[in-house]
Amino acid sequence: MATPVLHTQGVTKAFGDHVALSPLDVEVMEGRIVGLLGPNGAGKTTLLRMVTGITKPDNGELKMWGEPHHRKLLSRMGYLPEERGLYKSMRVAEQVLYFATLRGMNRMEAERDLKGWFERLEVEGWWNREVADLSKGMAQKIQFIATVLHRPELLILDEPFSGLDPINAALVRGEMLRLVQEEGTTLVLSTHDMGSVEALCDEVILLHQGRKVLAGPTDTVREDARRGRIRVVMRGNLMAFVAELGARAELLSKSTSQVKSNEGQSVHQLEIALPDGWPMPDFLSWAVNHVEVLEAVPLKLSMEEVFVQSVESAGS
Amino acid sequence: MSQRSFHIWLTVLQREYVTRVRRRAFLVATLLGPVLWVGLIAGMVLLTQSTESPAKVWVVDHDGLLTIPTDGEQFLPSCPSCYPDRSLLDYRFGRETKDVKELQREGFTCMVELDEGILQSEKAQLLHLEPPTGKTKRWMQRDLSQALERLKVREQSNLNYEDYLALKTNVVLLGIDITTGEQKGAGQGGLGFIFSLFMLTFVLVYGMHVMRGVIEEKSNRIVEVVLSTVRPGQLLAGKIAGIGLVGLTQIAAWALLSWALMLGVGMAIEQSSWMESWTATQGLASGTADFQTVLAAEEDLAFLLDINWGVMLGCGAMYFVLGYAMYAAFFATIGAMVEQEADAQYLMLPVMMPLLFSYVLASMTIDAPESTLAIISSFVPFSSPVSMMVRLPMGVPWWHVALSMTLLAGTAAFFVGLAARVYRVAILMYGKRPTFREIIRWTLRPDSGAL
Repeated sequence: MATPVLHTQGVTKAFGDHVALSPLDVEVMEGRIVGLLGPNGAGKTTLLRMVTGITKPDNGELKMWGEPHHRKLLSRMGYLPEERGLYKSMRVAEQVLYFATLRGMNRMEAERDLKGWFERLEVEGWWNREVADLSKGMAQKIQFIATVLHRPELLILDEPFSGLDPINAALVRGEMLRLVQEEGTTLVLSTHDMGSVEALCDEVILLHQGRKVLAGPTDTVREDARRGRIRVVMRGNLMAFVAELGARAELLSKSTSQVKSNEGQSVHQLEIALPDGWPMPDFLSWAVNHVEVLEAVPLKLSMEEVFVQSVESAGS
Repeated sequence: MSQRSFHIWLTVLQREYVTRVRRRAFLVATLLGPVLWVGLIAGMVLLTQSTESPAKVWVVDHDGLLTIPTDGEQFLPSCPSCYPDRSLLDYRFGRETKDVKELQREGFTCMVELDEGILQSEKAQLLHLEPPTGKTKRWMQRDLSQALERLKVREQSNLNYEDYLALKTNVVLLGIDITTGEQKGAGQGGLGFIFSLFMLTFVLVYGMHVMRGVIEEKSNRIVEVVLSTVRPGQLLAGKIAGIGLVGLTQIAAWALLSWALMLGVGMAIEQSSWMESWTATQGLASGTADFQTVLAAEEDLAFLLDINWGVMLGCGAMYFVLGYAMYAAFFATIGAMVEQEADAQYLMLPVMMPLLFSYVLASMTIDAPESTLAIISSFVPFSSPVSMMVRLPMGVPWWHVALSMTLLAGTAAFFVGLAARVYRVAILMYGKRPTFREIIRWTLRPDSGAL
């Protein structure tokens, strides 16, 4: 069995009376893109600060690449925090090289690689520019380069697309995928942008009030969260069908097509939540006795819906 | 410290150093500094020349040039109007010298010895228990010059204007410490004060550089990126060392430039026509005098040749390093506790108080650098970098300097350690200023909280 890049077991952290993390078990495997999700104050930044060595857990075990965490492992990581800045008194390239040197990279090698990154992210003319002259989006790209220049095996990005226009966001997203696919980098992505999570993440971990409330492959999570929800397109007497459905299942929504069929009957689209113990095939066998079923598909929740649903149910 | 830790510390130090020394403001200040300081020194000399101190003077008139005896073996000035009534200057006259104990018992602060030789040389020794200020000394010189002029005029008949000009007298008093035999005067005190002002400025300016650097890293949130690679203690140590090195660079540059400036001025004077005429008036053979000879002959400047500049600069640099390290630790702590510079203003006051107090003390003890208050404050670590600078030009026992530096080094190390404990927690605290209780708790907890 492969060794996880990041593994926590029973990790806790409190600041005074405030419990930031309750006993937490998470695992991130090599080469995966993992979304770390949760509302504000869920404990995401606390977890990331532990992984990046800024703080230590109060209790529990934190292992990186199978070893108990220690400072030498930090140079194998790249961390882009949500709140980030640059030294205004330094030039752009000089600043990125400073961080690469701090992370143990040879200066000449760093300069060579940096030129490549400047080309890929289309900032060639900015080598000797003052940081104070950078726009917010440009600064974001420089910060991204500073995070990845030393070729980290684990890349931790907190809201990496904030401040980027769609074109530059796509450019950065492309580079992130290239790092994962070509260099085997493991990526932990902390974000509130659920579109990015759906597009990029193989797996998600959802935290709420310092606890893990959801974890697993993104598709599975979305599938599991649908809780028997299906979409049915049917033709027939809607009122009679709904009356028959009665308390058997919950009707979530209904809509009627404006275009009537050849027989003069309307086409209706229903979203129904099937209860446990009434699987979709059984429901369809029952439904065809009452209406003509044109189409029936399981509903797949968006990550945003999964997020809201999970947080609400964890809260209740 | 491991090789990796050392590399990180050095990288931080290098960044702090390089980004500051290449700033235009630093280059301008470094180049213009010596010029400004020379101007300031001139200003301070004028200031010390204009302050007055109480003096009770025993004038020993061996040959009866200025006094007449009375019945009661007392001597009165033959020209009472030559000694205007001044509240802080009191003359007594006699024919015999007094020893130190007699002078002390009778409340004299100094003694002037005159004999017939003064009519030619116009120089006399001013033996003092406490050196008079420049202004007081100038009064004494003027009073004695007037009295001698009166004597010369009295011995002349049919005086024309040219003869009168020839009788003009300018007495120069050579100040000598009666207990040690060393020449000391207001010059050394003034120079010490300049050095103390210099030290105060450097410690404050570079300490505040540290504070601003910490606030910049905290407010623009870059600190979290840095701390994911660098320990808080390493970051703080690199920052303090890097900025301190900038200060030392400026001190070294100023010393070199000042030396070059003095050398240039000296050479210009030596080659000027003024030098020829000065040599002639001193009765020296042409071409035998140089700039040092001029300095040695000018009583107000001669002390510059007696100063051990190596010790002054060496001790000054050491006091700067240690004093700066201690105050930089305080300023770094303040910087870590706030999110913008405006919030730091009221926290800075208690930190600056000891420095400002020692500056006030330095200005008070400029004429009495060996007073008990001055000596004590030169041992107290919070004030010693400034206070010792006033004493150093006078010559200080080596063990005073050693003890003062040891106390300062120990205190600086202690506070840098405490500051690092507060810094590592406070630097990541946003939206809330730490309470006094929290700060105490952090200083007591040896575990850094970081990996």
